[in-house]
Amino acid sequence: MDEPEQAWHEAGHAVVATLLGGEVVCVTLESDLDGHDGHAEVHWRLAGGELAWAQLRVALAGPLAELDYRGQDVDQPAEVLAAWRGDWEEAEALLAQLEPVEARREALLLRALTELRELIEDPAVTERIARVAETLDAHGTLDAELLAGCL
Amino acid sequence: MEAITDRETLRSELSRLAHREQRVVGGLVAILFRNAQRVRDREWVAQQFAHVAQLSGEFDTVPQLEGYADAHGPAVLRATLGLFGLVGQDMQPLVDKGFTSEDAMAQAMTYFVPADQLPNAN
Repeated sequence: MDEPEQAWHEAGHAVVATLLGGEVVCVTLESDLDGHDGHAEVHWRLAGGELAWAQLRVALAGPLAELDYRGQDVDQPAEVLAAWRGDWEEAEALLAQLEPVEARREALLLRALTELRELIEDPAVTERIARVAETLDAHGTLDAELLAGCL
Repeated sequence: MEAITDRETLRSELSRLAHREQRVVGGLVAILFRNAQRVRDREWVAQQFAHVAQLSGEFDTVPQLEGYADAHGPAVLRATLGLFGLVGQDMQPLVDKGFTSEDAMAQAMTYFVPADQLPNAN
């Protein structure tokens, strides 16, 4: 993934995590985690279903922010969704935790994505994501203090 | 559903898909490479399609999503399974040496390039 797109992706995770009450201790484009080009480390004070619901939306926020940045017309559309398979695996695991009945997961995912789109399309939130992405692209890694300066 | 078994047909069918459907194929095949043991579970594959499709577009209701799945599911699933199968064949010579799902994904992406734009095209 190109750096600006990846920066928007990670910024999406970080900003949405903050808005949902998480404490982002680090966000980086230099992750060596399997299946991830970047990584946002979040500490939560939530538990159980509340935690899984927040984490599901944070997992999906990266791909959505990236799609928002890329727009509809890209040279290699097939690469876009392929790049977030790590996030997807996390989202699938959280969906399974939240909804044991497979047939009901579509509706739950739809709810999560609808809520997220409303959040990300808020101009104030888009601006925050843009600020974090720009700073992240410049620094490669942001700790909590640098991130707070962007928010 | 008749399987795609030759590369030219696959390239042709992928190029005919709209960008949104190409995105879904890319996302779906990436999931299949990491869960290859489940590829014959058509119910699971269909569920993954529905989930990936949700991320690719803005659906407000489950019926909207179901309408999309009815309209585009067969072509997307046919292309995805064809791509999975042919990339699997392409990767066969590397089985002994070993390869990752990222290697397979890189090979899959080459099928989205029209034949006349390949590096060795005349």
